[in-house]
Amino acid sequence: MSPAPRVLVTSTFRDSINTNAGIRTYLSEGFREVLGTDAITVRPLELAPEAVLELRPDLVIGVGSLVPDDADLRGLRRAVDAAGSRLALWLHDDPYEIDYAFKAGPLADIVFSNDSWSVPHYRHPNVHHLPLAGAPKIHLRDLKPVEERGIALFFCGVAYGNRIDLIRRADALLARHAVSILGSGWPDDLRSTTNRRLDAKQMADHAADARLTLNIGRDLDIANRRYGLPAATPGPRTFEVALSGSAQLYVVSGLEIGTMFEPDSEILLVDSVRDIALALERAYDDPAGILAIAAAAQARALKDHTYAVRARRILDLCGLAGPSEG
Amino acid sequence: MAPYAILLLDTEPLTRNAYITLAIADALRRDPRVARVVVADHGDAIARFQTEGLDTFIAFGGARTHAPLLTRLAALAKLSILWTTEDPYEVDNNLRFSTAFDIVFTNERSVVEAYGGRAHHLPLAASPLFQDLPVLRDDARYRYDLLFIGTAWPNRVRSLNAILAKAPRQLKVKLALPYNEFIGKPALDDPSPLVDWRCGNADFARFANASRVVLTLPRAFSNASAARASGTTPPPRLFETALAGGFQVMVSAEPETGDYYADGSEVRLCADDDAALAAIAEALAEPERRIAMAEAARARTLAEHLYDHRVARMLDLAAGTPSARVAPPTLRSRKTVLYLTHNRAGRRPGGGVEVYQEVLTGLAPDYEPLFLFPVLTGGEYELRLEGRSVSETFAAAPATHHTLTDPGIEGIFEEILFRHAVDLVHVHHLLHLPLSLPLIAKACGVPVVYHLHDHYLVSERFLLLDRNGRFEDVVGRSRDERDASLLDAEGHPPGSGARRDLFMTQVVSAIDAFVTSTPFTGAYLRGYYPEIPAEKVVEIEMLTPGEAVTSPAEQTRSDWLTVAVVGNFAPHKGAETVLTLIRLTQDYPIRFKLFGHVDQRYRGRLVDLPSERVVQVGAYDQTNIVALLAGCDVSLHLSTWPETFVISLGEAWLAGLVPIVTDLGALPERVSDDVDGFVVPPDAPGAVMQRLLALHLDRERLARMKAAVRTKRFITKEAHLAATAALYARLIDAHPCPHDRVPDRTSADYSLTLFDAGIRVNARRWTSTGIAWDSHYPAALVSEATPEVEATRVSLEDALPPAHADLPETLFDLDRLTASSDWYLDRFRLDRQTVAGRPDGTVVLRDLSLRGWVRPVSGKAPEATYLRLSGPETTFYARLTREGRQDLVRGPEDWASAETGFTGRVAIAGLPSGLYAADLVQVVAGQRLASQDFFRVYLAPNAGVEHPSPWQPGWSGTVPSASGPVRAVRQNLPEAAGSLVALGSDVWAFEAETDLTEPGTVTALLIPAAGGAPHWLRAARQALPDGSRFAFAAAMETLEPGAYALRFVLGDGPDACLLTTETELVRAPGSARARLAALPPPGFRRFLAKRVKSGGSLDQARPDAADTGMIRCIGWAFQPGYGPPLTTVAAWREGGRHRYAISAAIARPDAAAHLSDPAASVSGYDLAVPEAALRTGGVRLYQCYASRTVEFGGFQAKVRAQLGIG
Repeated sequence: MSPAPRVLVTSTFRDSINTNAGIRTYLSEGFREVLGTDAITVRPLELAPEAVLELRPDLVIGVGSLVPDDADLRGLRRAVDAAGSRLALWLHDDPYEIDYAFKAGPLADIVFSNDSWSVPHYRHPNVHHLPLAGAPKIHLRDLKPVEERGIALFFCGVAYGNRIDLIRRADALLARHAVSILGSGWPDDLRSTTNRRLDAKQMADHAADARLTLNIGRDLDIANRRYGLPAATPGPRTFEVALSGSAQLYVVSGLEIGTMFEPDSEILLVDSVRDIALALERAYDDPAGILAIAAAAQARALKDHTYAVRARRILDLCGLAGPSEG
Repeated sequence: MAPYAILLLDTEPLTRNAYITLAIADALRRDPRVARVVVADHGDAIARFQTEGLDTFIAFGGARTHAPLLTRLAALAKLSILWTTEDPYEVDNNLRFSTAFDIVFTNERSVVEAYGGRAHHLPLAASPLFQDLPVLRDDARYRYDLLFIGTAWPNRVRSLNAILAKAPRQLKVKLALPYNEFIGKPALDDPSPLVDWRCGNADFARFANASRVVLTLPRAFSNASAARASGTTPPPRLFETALAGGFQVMVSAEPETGDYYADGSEVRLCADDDAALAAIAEALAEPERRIAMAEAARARTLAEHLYDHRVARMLDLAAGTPSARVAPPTLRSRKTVLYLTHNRAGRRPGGGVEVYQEVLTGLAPDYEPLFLFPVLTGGEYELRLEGRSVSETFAAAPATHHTLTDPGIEGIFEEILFRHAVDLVHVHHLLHLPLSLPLIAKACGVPVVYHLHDHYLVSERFLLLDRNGRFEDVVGRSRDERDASLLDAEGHPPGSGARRDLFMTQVVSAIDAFVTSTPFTGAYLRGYYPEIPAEKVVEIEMLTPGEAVTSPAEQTRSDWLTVAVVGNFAPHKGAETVLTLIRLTQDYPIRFKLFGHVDQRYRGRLVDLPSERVVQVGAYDQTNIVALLAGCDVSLHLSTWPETFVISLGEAWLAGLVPIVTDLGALPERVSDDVDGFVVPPDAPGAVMQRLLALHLDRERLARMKAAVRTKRFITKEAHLAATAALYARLIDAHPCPHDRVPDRTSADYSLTLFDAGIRVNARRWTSTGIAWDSHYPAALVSEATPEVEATRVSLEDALPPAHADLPETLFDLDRLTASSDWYLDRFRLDRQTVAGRPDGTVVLRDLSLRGWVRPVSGKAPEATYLRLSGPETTFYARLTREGRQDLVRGPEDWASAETGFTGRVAIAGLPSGLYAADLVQVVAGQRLASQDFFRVYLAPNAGVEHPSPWQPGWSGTVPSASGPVRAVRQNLPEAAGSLVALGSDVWAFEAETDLTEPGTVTALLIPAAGGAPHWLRAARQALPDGSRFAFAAAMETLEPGAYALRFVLGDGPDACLLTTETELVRAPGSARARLAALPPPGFRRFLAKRVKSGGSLDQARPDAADTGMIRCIGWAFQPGYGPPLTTVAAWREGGRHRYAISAAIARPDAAAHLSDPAASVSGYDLAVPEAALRTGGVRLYQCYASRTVEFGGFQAKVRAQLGIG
């Protein structure tokens, strides 16, 4: 059997401004699960070229964003060339930053985008859809009986315009329940929200303690002027919350969710405030049904939506498929 | 013509329908007649079309946006196809610009006739790429009953409310109702549905597939827009929904819809909301029938309404239809080359690049030259375009330092490329220009040559020197090291180098050829950018002007070794090494001759060196340098940076000298060590000394090497131009630019930007750490600094209106009030440059503007405020605009302060030139309050320039013999006994008249009294009824100190004539406005001088920082009874001879007031005398009057006292 391919995981920009460096760690854990610990090296971008030259991995994968112009990806590419390696980029902020997709052209051998609708809009010849995922080490929680959960409905996130609009419409309803709607930027006039940030583990704990977790997409473009693409693929919170064991209310702005979780049995889709009200009623009237959804979602996420699964997909598409499970 | 190799371009860089272009490309690739399809962006469309051997151009969208680029692409293609999608709204523009295409397709049937037979109808369609979903046959699997996705026009919201209210049951609806601020949030009767979301087309197809009914509602226009044309052909949503398996109910659909789908069997077309409600109810009640209709519609789509079908029809018609192109753009036999550069000879002082780029004009007429370069004065920035019959100035950005992109300049550049039919861009420098311009040229299909005069593509520090002046080898340096260097040397924030590098990587990819003078520079560039293919680097030896000297003008002294140091004496040229070397060799008979400008910092250090060993020749005329070098033995070229050629090395060889060069850059490539010169390490004076001694002590070796030098040959100008022309020809052949002559198309909107070309940057500058998000883009690129808003222009009148003219005038002395609390000038700008204080005689060429306020007089705000300009011929009035100044109100009783602001810009074109006194006149309470002599300016509108022109050294033309005089009419410099005196900080505005009317360029010459090549600049010329006026405004900074005579040359070549003036000028070496002379001024009678002990004031005596060894003396002197003084002069003896410092007449109204004698108003002096003379004694001060010379005793003692000399 040929030795496992060696993979170096890095970021696409400097750690000093990287608020998503966690994803790099999650992915490296995923790779370790697939290829074994020794095959994986993790380095921030600042240290990656040196490590590439020293370790000569088979694959270098940069995770993140192509927005910052000061990222020395050219230096990374040079090191990859010198080492005879291949450079993959996993860009996880599409479509919100797709104006910068042009940068991938001369840099990457293969590109992965988190968003399916963004993929055909790349000019790069080798682009694939790869949603983000959940990291069991961080996000997985034991399933708690629904009746014991202290939070009726949980949400945590930045108060984008679409989220404020939705919560405002549902505010009267939500304020009657023991909800925990957290994050930053919530306006004062909302009764049901609290401006409070959570880290990844706290987020998982909150979800695990929630009968329902609301899933509202993002509507904030950083660099999406050229095509104004709407997002199609659910965000990473979908997979993380599933691992944490909460049934999710997915606010529908696309139906790709149905390819990831089975509607009704693994996730609840909502299209109206009325749907949210009905789900809240059910969370108290049918705790067993809600727990079943949470359990099914958790199982599905562990099967299909972990970073190990994504790592395996990356290796497949790069022609470096690792040893199969079992 | 088959198979087709197609370039497909979405004509809108900003589009919400990019997926349709992808769908068309997908369909084209399936067509058997198509070999290849390339989907391009505006930035690379032409380049890819040419380099990938494509033959067919399909423009999808419209013909208006970036029409010149589309027109050029169409001209390059064997077959050009336009498929418009915005008709009927854009039909006028599409008609206008579509004449560039062979065949036109419009998505709108109703406008086909408008194209006059040139267009065919081609509706949009559906694509298996995004919408191919089978109809759900199990009714239970549908997630929604009703889907509506569309803008929330009020009529649609009303329809939805009506339909949902009357629906047979609570429908499971999915609604997306995007809105904007004009139509407002949709007010649904049922507020529950979440309607503010959007999805991509693939998701739309999923929704359609998952909905039992897909509803289409019309958009009802308001009355105001009823006349607006609306289309008859349905949008692509019709076909997409059908392919996605959706069942469609359409309200008020255009009848044309029935041509695509059958009502009742494939779709339901309903006249109104009630009919739609009935159709929906029926569909929900009869799922089998509904599903059958959806199946039928999908089958119809697969059979007729895919992009495959549209593409097939397009190619069928294109093959069988004669071209409808009108006057397609053509190639021209004479090509135009745009030289993009940072400066041009005749503007700011320059060097070899400025000289060289003018040499390339020798390629005309085959390659007609155009020059585009920035003009920077103060904070002002403009672009100048100059050519044989072109002289244009473009107002541009406030500043371009470190700029990656500037949308305004990019648009200007695009317009120049197209409207001036540019075939090739030859970049000499990108300093002070947005780095994006080569990318814009590439987008326009114009090939780009970049001349590697230095290392600017590699680093902003283009000499590659670190803070200590040492070579910094940046190839292979890490990002952190580069950051450290930029932070250390320039203060740029971390990441700056990476930002510049990232962008430059794209810039170099847009350049078609890099010209290097020797292999080194090209190789170094490729070391930094390995992605540059070797074949893009073209070596063309730089020109070495001059001819070999066969008979030395000065015989070599066999007992001395003479070493020439040629070129600027500056740190990067090895000045420190030379200075050390001079000291090292002090015991040997080795002397050094310094040819060229000596950097300010070295002047003092050179003064102390013995003159028999160090000779400063000073600035030289490049055409004479070879002759000047004759007699020297060795030349030093000890640059500390990797030079790209060094012209002076060739000149030294031509003069027969043995060069010693540093082992950096091009120098070691050109010199064979110990054969025709020596190569030494940089910063190694000891090594240089060893070589000098080797030659000095071994004269045979010196002779042998000189003999080797004499065999050196250099590229001729003809060969150089031929090599350049060959490069141009090759690139133009590979990237031909058809030029359009159809006014309807060329009078387009030129607005191509870097963003349109497909490249986005975080910020305007690479030194900026910010990242502009969509909400601030592209506004953030225009400028990070708010440019100063220029005041509104106000007109000039030659009289006040009668109502104000008849009022009594009272003096109002602002100087007695307190600036900033009683009055203030917030902004005062002359020629767009902010000035501090109140000017006294500053030269103005274009305009002046001011903004300020004066506190209310007697609590009343002025009725009007005027600027009164009193000049040499007449007086003009400009009524300033009143400006509300709420910021000045100090309390409820002070309302009048809010109305005391004034502002205005006065353009001076057409005014007689001369000195003007400006009064601020306010009309208040029935009187005019006049603040007289508010400031003084010298208006020079006839100079014909927007910025002063510097004197250029080294007039290379032949000075013809004199053929007539010109009469000096007016100028602004003060006179010192017959000669004008100029300081380096002066602007000289000069105007003269002549009877001559012959056409021709006018060149002003300053002929040095000491001999040598004249300095020159181009003067403006205006026709007068019986002659001509010559005028110029000259910056005096670059003029070497000395005495000159002013001449004009009219015309060029052998027919040029020389016109004399009586004007003589002295450029003073220091700060004192005086000239040094060996002869006394006229009227000076030393021996009959009356000696007085007092009668004046020495205000100041101190060393002149700008003129070493001289003491500048400022004061006034006056003896009553003789009338006004003519000249003030200091006299002393130096080396046994008399010397004089003759001061210009300095106005001293204070002295006149003090003495109550108006004759004393010009009693001031400003002169400089040698400190040495003051120390040895004998400096006297005289004043010449018409009938008497007066000596003011005690002058030297006063000066010595102020200097503390005992």
